Amino acid sequence: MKRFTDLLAGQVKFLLSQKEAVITFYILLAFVLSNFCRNVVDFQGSDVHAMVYPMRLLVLSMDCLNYKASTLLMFIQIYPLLVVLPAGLSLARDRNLGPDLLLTSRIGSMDYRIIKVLGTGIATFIVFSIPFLLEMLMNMAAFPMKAFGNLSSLSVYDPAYAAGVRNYLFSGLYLRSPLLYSLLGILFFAFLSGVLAAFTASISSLIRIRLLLILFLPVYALLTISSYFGGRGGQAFAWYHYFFLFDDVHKSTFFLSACLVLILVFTVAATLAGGRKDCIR
Amino acid sequence: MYTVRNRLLVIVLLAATTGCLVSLKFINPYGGAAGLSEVLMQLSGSRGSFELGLNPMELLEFCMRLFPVFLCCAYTGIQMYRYYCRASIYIFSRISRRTGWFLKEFLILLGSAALFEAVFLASALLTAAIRFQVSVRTEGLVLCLWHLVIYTLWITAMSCLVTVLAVRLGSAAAYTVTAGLQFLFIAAMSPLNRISDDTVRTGRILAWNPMARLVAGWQSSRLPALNGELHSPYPGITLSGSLLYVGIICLACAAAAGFVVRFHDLIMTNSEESGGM
Repeated sequence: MKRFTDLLAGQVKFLLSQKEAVITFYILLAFVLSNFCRNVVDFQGSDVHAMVYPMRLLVLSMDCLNYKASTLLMFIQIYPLLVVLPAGLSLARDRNLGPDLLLTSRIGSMDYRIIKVLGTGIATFIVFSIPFLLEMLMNMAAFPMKAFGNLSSLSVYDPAYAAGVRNYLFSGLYLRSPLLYSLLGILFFAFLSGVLAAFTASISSLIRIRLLLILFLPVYALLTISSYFGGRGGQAFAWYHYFFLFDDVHKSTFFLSACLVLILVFTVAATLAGGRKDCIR
Repeated sequence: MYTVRNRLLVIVLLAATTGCLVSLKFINPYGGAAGLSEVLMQLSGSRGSFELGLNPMELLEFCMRLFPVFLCCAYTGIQMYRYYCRASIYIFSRISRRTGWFLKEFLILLGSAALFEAVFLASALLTAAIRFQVSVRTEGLVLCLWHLVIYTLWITAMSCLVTVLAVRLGSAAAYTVTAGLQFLFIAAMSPLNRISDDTVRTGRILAWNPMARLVAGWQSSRLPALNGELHSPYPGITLSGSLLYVGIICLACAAAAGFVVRFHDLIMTNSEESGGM
């Protein structure tokens, strides 16, 4: 077991040092910094009572759609491609270039693929959590945490606002502690990103893919097609309603859970199926 | 061979499926009846008889409507780059007329994009006609032709750009950059929401944005055949101007791709196999 965790830690470290992971990290950091600087310029000198709750100003806050949304809009559009970039292509690249030969002969095909897919998920989780956690800390330091306003035109005592809050994912947690809700929301977003990256890696475990561009398409198609459907009673199925914070659209937790389970089952099955034979090619 | 020509069935299937999906999701005329022109405008952003707004949610939906275009660009871009990789080894070693080879491939790409757009439109309009009462008039047919031509040129341009960038960066990074550029142009429209009351100024800024040129509801024209059907809120964007603008972009991308094919020796640097993104 210790050998497995050592190999996994080594793999995560390796993936995080790759230029794709570093570029993605800097792209996310650019989103965060541009959003933070704009917020500081817009809200400097605001009275605490007129100020928006700082966590609602994060890049991941859907409340921003009621304000200057170009950063969030750009992020929502590019996310399906960006999520694959840090580590999702690594297994396919290994299989194209040949390092998989060395690792497979050392630790066996099954262990190699499990470590690679798991490592992809963990590395993506790290890349997609740190910039947003950093933004959270910066907002906590720069803006008054006692502020309770929001970016919509609704008052916090408005019944429509209360109904919107009830539609948040983890709304119970939000009502107890908005800060904890934000922290959990960011980690949940990073977790979903990790799952999608691992899903991509598992596809390349199953099929050998020479042109890496093809690996962008499954997640891109999956996420985009989700926005083409709507459930009964006005339930929204579009992915961004589930991934982001402070989203007040009516959601289906059953839909989210079912999709998550299906993706995880596919990821595990594809990884195991890809590594069932110890043949090197 | 990996040429696009041998993958036409995939293009047809892709276009038919996505056309049906887009039609089911986004075409929804008020009262269950609409003219062909209104249906076409809904394919590129309009909601009912209202043209695409500049607020973030509507722009996001516009991006979702362009999903088939992004998918087609990825597919045709891949095929062209793939064929170019093969040709670098098997064809250019025997045939020195690289420009001739590229022109032939470019025309095939243009034809494939036109086929994709034609099947996409047919599938979307047929689905709409089954669900609603769609009346066909001359202005609708003119707009349909415009839609077919402008999206064909756009898909061709973006596929060429994927090929050009893939030579340098590898296919994955090339597609990310190409799609990212298009997303950036869409996101750049969002700040204009604050000045949208000043339609002249907004129109003047939007006229520079190539993605704005793809929105049928924002076009205006003096063509008598259109019979005053287009009610653009932004005066600077015209049907013919948009065709010219996108046509120039397409030519520029084709020239860049032609230049790469003519002068770049892929056999020396294969970024797909040497760890490029």
